[in-house]
Amino acid sequence: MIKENDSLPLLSGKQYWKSLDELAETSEFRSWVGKEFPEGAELLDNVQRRGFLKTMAASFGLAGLGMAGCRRPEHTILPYGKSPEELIPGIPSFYATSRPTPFGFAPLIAESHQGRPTKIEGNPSFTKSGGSTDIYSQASVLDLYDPDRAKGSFTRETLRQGKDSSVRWKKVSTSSLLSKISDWPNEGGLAIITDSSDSLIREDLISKLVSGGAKHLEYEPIDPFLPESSLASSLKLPKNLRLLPKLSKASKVLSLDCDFLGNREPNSIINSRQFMSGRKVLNASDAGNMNRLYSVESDLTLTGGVADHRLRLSSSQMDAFAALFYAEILKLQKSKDTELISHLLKIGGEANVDTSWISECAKDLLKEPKNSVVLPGLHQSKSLHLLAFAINQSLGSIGTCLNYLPVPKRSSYSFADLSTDVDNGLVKSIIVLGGNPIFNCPNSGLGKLLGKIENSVHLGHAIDETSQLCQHHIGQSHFLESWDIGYSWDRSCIVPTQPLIAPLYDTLSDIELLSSIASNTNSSHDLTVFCHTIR
Amino acid sequence: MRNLFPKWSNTIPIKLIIALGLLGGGVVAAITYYATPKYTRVGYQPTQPVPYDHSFHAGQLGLDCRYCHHGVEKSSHANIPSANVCMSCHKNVKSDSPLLEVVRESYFGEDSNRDGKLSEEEDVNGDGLLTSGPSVPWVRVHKAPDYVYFNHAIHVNRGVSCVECHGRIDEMEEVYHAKHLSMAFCLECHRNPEMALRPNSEVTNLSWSAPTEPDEDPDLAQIHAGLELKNNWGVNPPLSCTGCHR
Ligand code: HEC
Ligand code: HEC
Ligand code: HEC
Ligand code: HEC
Ligand code: HEC
Repeated sequence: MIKENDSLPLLSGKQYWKSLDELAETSEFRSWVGKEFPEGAELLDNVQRRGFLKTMAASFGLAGLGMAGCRRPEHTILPYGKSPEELIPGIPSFYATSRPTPFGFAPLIAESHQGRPTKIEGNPSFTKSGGSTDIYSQASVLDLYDPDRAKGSFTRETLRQGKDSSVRWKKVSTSSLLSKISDWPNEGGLAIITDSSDSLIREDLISKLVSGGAKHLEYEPIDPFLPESSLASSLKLPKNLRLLPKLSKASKVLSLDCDFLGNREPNSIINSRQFMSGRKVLNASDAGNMNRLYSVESDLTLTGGVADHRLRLSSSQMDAFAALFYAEILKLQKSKDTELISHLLKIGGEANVDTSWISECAKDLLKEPKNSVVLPGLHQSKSLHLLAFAINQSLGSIGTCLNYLPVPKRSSYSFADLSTDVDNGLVKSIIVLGGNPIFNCPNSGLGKLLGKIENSVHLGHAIDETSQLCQHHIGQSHFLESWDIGYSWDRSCIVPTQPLIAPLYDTLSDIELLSSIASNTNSSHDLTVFCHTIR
Repeated sequence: MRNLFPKWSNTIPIKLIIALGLLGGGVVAAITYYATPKYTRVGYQPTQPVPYDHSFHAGQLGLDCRYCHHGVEKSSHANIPSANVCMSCHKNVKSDSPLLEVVRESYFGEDSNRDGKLSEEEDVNGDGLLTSGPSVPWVRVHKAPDYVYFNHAIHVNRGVSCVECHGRIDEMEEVYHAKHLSMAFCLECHRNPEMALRPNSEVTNLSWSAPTEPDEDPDLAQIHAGLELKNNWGVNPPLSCTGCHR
């Protein structure tokens, strides 16, 4: 016989109560629970609930009988008051423009329906990309209509009630805020923090302000310029060296944690196009000429997916791998520099890799050394970039499969410099142009600095973490609402950005803000600055 | 045993069947007549915000349809003209008619003293640009459902006249739905386009008919002219569902 489980009541867990009456089990509570409906629910101003439902059901039924709901809904056609020239509703127009990115200006064609930009594609007259774009440019049109955009300018107000205080953003007119900010350079002690850009106008305006005594700090959460500046400093060159792959002639490619076909590296659109042109097989004889890709990577990337040979290796071992690989190349080339080789082997000693993979790969690359190239990942260490430079040099592929393009050095003013300047009272006002450094450079110490100074403003797409620590926020115009001009990443061309639509809200572009504080004019959305710079 | 049912009840089943048949037939007939586009749509004539008269402007004045419906040859939409098209005449003609107040408001917008210039205090939104007023809310008469793809340019450039689908607009004082534009209507022409094709120059001439030889039947003349155009242009309207339901 099954024994009754004594401990069952314990298993039912804690009993909860919903009111004090229920806990005390008062007699009112018992009688209240006993009834189906609480008292008073039956009476809605002398109308019985049932009666009410009956009437409503009947009226709905009768409403259908007269078919009053079957009338055709009325649509209106709303033409313009004054039609823009050459505009035919239903036919889109296309404009050439470009998107400023940390990796240069991306040439684009934007489609516009009756003045509203709707779709973005690459500009086919930029032959290197041949009319293709990356996912970020494709998606960028959505930012224009983002409901979370800052729809104008705001000033932070702290409301105090007794001990409590709350923060509120008060909307102000952009032009009044701008005229206030325009005085800051005259008061002295201005610092401008920007994200990176290849804009020529911005460069010009900032250099004007810097020569007037302002400080300029350029930052990027993941610095795409680190490799090029570190190469320049290791090789003691006056200019930065930017690696530009030219993969259409490459027959063997070794990627060292470099997702050059994906979206993590600059120029990936051009890289993919050039690399894939070496994989087109139209007839049997082409098959032998296909290029080959070796990928050593720490993550699952597009490049790894395309690779013929993929080696899984942690990011921290990349240096060691490259050293071993370089040593192997030197050995196969019968180099006499035994000192270098033994040094490289020492560096590579800690690597935990299959040495046969390295020797096979090195042998393969050396079959056509001039058409073989080693690509280091952007986020990789200084030494890896230097090693890759050395390997490419000893292969002799610089010039055929990749170029090292000298580009001007960037501003070297850092957050540490800013901090000392603030402490010494040299900086009194900070303008943050674009980006969100408080969020994506958390260890910069900028938050504390913003608390110490008198004036601060953030120009940004939305009110974000950085704005929370500034006194003012100015909404930033989308690139489809502003003028600009700048270099593409490979610096082969200068591409203009032209607005397709006047700013939807009371916003400014970085150029407009800078030009008004640099020249103390208040012209919003003005062509004169643009034309001036082009000249 | 007495009969439970009287004698006349013998005919009840047959009477019932006939009655139900008649009723069913009646319902079917009523639905085909009253609940199809031929009845529900034809004659639809909403009240327009401005009593614009096609029979006067297009008929008597002889304005070409494309003067106002300027997208009809290029776009899927024919377009209703914007206020500036009306104002090109009505700045001078009937320039203070109360009937045209809505049009003038749309045209002048911020320019409240209507001198064509924008002064400081007129610039309400402060952008330095003369902004036009609210659109004239013309009520749509013809409407293809969202699941149908229709394109004016394709038809107009292949010699299909407005009159085939919209009737004698140039004789209407106020536009009404003249043809039913149901699927059967579209298909009827797509099967036999030669009944409708005409030279491109006559598309907006709603009173055009094919020139006839002496004592030639006008319908026959149309078919001959249409067939010739159909062959020359290689006209081949879609009959498959995906042609119109994309
Ligand atoms: C002076 C300008 C003008 C000219 C010329 C003109 N129209 Fe119109 N049309 C209008 C306006 C304004 C409307 C909207 C008001 C209305 O529906 O009555 C309209 C409406 C229409 C509509 C109804 C649109 C709807 O809502 O479905 C049709 C069809 C049309 N026109 C056809 C024609 C044809 C065919 C001609 C040439 C014979 C023509 N129109 C010439 C101005 C013009
Ligand atoms: C080619 C010139 C011309 C254009 C374009 C034109 N109209 Fe007219 N309209 C006239 C003339 C002429 C009259 C008749 C004036 C008269 O009766 O004395 C008239 C009369 C009218 C009237 C009657 C006014 C009254 O007080 O009796 C209305 C309403 C009207 N037009 C609306 C429109 C609209 C709406 C448009 C634009 C879609 C338009 N017109 C475009 C020439 C034009
Ligand atoms: C083959 C049939 C057909 C022909 C021919 C045709 N239309 Fe239409 N029209 C339509 C249909 C269907 C609509 C409804 C379209 C919609 O809802 O998108 C329409 C709508 C319109 C409208 C309303 C506005 C718009 O663009 O939707 C105007 C105006 C118009 N037609 C003018 C014209 C004129 C003028 C011509 C001759 C030059 C013409 N149509 C020839 C079928 C036709
Ligand atoms: C009076 C004749 C006529 C009527 C009515 C007519 N069509 Fe057409 N349709 C044509 C002709 C002619 C063509 C052109 C075929 C060609 O170019 O080969 C055409 C072509 C088309 C096309 C093809 C467009 C393309 O991109 O290839 C579509 C879609 C279409 N019609 C839809 C409709 C719809 C929807 C209706 C009903 C509202 C309609 N048509 C009514 C004669 C007509
Ligand atoms: C010439 C263009 C055309 C072609 C081809 C066409 N349709 Fe249609 N269809 C229409 C139009 C126009 C309507 C809308 C009729 C209305 O508004 O009453 C429609 C409506 C419909 C409807 C909705 C029911 C209704 O009557 O409103 C169905 C279902 C449908 N079509 C099915 C089809 C199928 C199945 C085919 C292929 C055999 C087809 N259509 C081919 C033009 C076309």
